[in-house]
Amino acid sequence: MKKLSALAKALAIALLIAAAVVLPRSSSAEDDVFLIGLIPEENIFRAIQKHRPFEAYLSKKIGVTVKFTILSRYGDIVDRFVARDMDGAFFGIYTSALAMEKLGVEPVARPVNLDGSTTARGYLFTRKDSGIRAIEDMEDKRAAFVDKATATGYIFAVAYLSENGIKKPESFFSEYYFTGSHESTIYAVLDGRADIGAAKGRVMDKLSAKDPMLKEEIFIIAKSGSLPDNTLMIRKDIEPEMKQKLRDALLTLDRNPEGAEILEKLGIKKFVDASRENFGAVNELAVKAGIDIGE
Amino acid sequence: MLYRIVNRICGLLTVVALLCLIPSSAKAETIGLILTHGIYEYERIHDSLVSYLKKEGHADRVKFLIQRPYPDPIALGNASRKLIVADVDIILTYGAAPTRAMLRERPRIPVLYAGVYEPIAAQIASKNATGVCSKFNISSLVRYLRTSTTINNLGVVYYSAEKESTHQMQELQDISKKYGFEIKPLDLKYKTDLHTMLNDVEADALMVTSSPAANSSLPTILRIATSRKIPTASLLTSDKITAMITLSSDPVRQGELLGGMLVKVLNGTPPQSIKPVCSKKIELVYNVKDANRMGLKISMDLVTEATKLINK
Amino acid sequence: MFFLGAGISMLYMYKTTGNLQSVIDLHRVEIIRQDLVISAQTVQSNLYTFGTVFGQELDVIVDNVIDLGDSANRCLSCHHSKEITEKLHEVNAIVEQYENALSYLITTSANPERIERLRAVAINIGGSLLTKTQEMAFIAGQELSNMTINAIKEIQHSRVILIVTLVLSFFIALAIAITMTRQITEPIYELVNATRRIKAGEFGYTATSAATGEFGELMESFNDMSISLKESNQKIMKNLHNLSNLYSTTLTFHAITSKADIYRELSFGVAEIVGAEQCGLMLPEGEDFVHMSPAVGLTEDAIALLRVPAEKILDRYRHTKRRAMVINNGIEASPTAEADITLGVKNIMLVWVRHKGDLIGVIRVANKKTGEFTEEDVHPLAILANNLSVALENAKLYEDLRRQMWELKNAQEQLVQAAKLVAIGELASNVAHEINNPLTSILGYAELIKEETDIESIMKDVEIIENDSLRARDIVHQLLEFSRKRSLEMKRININGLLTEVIGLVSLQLKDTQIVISEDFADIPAIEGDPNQLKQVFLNIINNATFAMQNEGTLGIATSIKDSTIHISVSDTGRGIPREVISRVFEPFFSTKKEKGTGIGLSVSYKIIQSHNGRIEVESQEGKGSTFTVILPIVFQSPA
Ligand SMILES: Nc1ncnc2c1ncn2[C@@H]1O[C@H](COP(=O)(O)OP(=O)(O)OP(=O)(O)O)[C@@H](O)[C@H]1O
Ligand SMILES: [Mg+2]
Repeated sequence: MKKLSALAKALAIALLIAAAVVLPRSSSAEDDVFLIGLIPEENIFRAIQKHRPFEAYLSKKIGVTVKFTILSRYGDIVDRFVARDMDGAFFGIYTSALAMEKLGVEPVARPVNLDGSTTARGYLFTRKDSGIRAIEDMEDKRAAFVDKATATGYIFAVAYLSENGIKKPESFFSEYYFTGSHESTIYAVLDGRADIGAAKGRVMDKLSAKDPMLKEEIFIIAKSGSLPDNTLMIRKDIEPEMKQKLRDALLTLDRNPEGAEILEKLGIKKFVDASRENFGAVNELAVKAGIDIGE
Repeated sequence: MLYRIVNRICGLLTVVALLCLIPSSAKAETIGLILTHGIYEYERIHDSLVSYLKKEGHADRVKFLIQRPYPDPIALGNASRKLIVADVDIILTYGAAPTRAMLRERPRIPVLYAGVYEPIAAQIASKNATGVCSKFNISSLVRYLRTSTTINNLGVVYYSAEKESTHQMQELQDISKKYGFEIKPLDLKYKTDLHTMLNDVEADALMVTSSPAANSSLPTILRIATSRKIPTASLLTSDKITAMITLSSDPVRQGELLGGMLVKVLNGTPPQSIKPVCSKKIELVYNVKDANRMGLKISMDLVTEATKLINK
Repeated sequence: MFFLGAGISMLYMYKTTGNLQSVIDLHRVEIIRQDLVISAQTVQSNLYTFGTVFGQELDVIVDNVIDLGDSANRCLSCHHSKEITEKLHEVNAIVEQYENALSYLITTSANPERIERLRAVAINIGGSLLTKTQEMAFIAGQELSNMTINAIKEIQHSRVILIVTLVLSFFIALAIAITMTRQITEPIYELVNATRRIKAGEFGYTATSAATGEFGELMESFNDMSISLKESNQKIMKNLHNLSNLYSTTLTFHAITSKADIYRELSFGVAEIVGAEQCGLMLPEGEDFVHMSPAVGLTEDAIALLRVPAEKILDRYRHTKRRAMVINNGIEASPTAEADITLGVKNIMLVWVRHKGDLIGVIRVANKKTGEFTEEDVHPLAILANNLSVALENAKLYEDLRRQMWELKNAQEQLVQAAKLVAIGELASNVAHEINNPLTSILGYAELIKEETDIESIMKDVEIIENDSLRARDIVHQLLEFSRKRSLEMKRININGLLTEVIGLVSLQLKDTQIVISEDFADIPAIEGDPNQLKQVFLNIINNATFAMQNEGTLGIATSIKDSTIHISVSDTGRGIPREVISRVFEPFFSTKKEKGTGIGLSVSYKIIQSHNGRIEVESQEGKGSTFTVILPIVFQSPA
């Protein structure tokens, strides 16, 4: 009897410690927080830190505490949105389309990059010395893609192949795999671990800015059209009033000094309006690729 | 009278020689093998070849006659001639320098090679020879090295007497121009100076080409560089002590491809009708443990891309 | 003086309070460090506990990591000792890496193996972060105690200083007196210093001092001595340099067998030794002495000018009583004066080359770069001239020999060719039908191709044709090979040099053993042989010897000359060869080494030596060692 109670005590203590370690800050007031997800593109801690003044600004403007959180990995973005009970998130090209379909979210606004672009392109590429220049050279070669849920790193490539008569990429290539990131796909092709790859053009441009050899080694076989990148989507059931406040706050950011400072920190020019219509091209791509977004 | 006898003998011998042309199929064929002393990568290729033959049920068809010369021209030449004199049925060579040494003797025996970075650049061309090439992109190795350290001066260990090593050196020279760093060549021509060379070189990183001469001293080279906290990159895999980054054509795959060729030749296909193939499987090993111990920045790109990570 | 003392003690006071401030700062570092440790430990335990799908705990981790970064950054701005700042920077760098690793871990999808790996790396970095902060605590603690002690010491100091000031005033007066005395002794010190430097090899160092009078004189004569020391030292160095040049030039002479090489080596050697613009060699040719090419500083046209009747040269030779001619002004006296004037010669030196008392050549050196020719220039050239005569003689002998050999070989080849023709005639009938088979098949398939319509069957036929052609070619090759004797690539070789090369290789391999190599090379003449094949022989024999000794013993390599053969013996102190097998060691495939040997080494070596008209002998005592002796003829005669 005594033994048992000692054991129970030890267990209880262990549990307490575990709880304290894992959840030292579990906030009970999650309900009155407007939680927005971010797609990870660089060091996530840096990203969250960069967004802190933005959080404060938005909280002030819409009257509810705004918090940003990381959407972690490609595969579970939609799951995490649900699991964390988010109110909105910046989604990528294909995940936006997916989220609209599956979660019923609605586009609010999207950032304009410093170069003025609000869109991204996908590249289908190979090593220059591979001798691959067109579809007919690709048969039985090894292909690396980013993830099933990326437009630039997969879907655009499948659509391109399909347009050129290749309906079953999985049997057309000798090997066919997903690397999990745009960078990894580019590295895989550069190293010769894959013969063909697809990835976001902007990621490749960023890498080749640091690496002068890259341009000499890569040959771009095809580019996708411009696709709407990085769009803030919010849940349908958010009151229209709140939605309007949020949109106003975003769209006027570049017109006051405090907002300008925030934009500078985030490395973007301004926010512009976003609508469902922007995603026509994405849906078209998915159809061409034979992918049913609702699935 | 004397001429008569000589002629007779000549004629007789010719017939014997012609008879030898007809392959005898039943008994085990003798495979002469040049396995340069002290090079781990070549041992791995060979192990993989042997297990391939076992797996495919051809192990009983061959017996190996192995020469383990040191990687210098005289010893390699000696080993080659010994195998030719022993009149083996097929010759296997690992590495460009041993293969070149063998082909220089113009053997009539089929030669199959592996571990040759680029047969054409290494000037390995003979009607009697075919094999497995181990080409990969040196630029990738430089790229990964740059993700973990800044390079202004790159020391390169090579051996000017070996075509392949010089060729890789040239490739690196071209790459260095693009990135704007200096190459500090460390020529193994004078092997006794190895220690001094390595201790004196002022470089932020050290790269070892796939030269057998360099790789038989790989542990020494790596030990000195590590003690000087110079990150290392190698083009051949090694045992126990590993470079911080190793990028190589997977030796296991090379052994399997070579095994496939060997079986074809055993079945009577002449080597000249077998095209050389390149193994496309690449091994990228990142030694995080040493990077950590030397206080270098850990390259997360390398951690994610590596096919093998040494962490403990 | 008194105020000065007061000032100093004030300064001390100020410093002490400053120190106290850093003591407080250090305590602050400690607090921050503890923060850091707690945050790092929290993140580490997060890493161990979370699964692969992130829920709310992801935000917790992110907050914790950001806190960690903050605490690492916080102390960077305060002023600390170099050591602590360094450590802080290190910690900061690791935190950055930690963030980076975590970032990758959290955002990477793809395979679970990769995620596990990233987690392991992140945990490792976290581990070293904790170690680093520990080290920092240690340094800070040590510094803390040091500083406290210092602060206390300095408070005591300032007390002492006040008292000292009083005493100090007295001593300053004393100091002034001392300085004045110093002015007198300074030149002496300087002189002593100068002597020391000269002793240390800094010749020509001159003492500087504004001393006058007796000291001044002493100084001056000392400086003179120093400078003359420097000059004589330079002279010695120059002579040494000349000697080493001389040595390398004469050494090469004896290795050269072509005349043009000798002329080149001589010209460049002389130019190096004497430092003159035109250097070269003149040799008799018919009635004249003519200048040889190549030469230093003389074009082919210039060389053509230098043709002088032998009588003129011999006249000078006798006139100078066989001693070298040195003309620094009035070059009309030179036997080559005519050409010299056109060649712009200002001064000239002619050194006679003699062989058995006869004049066989003249070393001509003109226009010294630094002034005039002296006796010092003559001396090394005289030595060179002696060596040159021998080298010239050698080269001549060698050329004769080569011509004879060539004639012999030609005659021989004609004989062999004649015999071959007969043999081939007989062979042809034997072989004709061997080749006929593939040829018939080739023709047949060639016919077929004409009728074939689809590319696939044509390719098949072509393949068969190719294979049959190859077979035919192989047969022909085999025949050619057979009718041709495997020829040796004969060269004139210096066996000692060749052995040194092989030993060089082997000694690299013996570096880690207790085997010592002992060389005993006799002065042996060059012989004819195939260097590559002979190297192979010695490598095989030496490899066997070192194998027999395993890890320790003596490897003896000796050369000697006996009658008209040279003997190369390789001895070892290894296990020896049993009597019953000694007669079998040259048999192909005879080996006692299991998988470590193939038994080919000696059989190949035997064949090679046989083809050189030599032989190999073995002597061995079980348990004591073996000696292999290679015996080669000095003059190679190809077997009839
Ligand atoms: N110096 C030596 N001391 C003792 N035994 C020797 C010595 N040299 C040769 N032998 C004997 O003669 C045998 C034949 O020598 P050989 O060099 O022909 O072949 P191997 O050394 O066995 O193989 P490999 O073909 O690799 O040279 C050896 O196996 C050894 O038993
Ligand atoms: Mg041997």
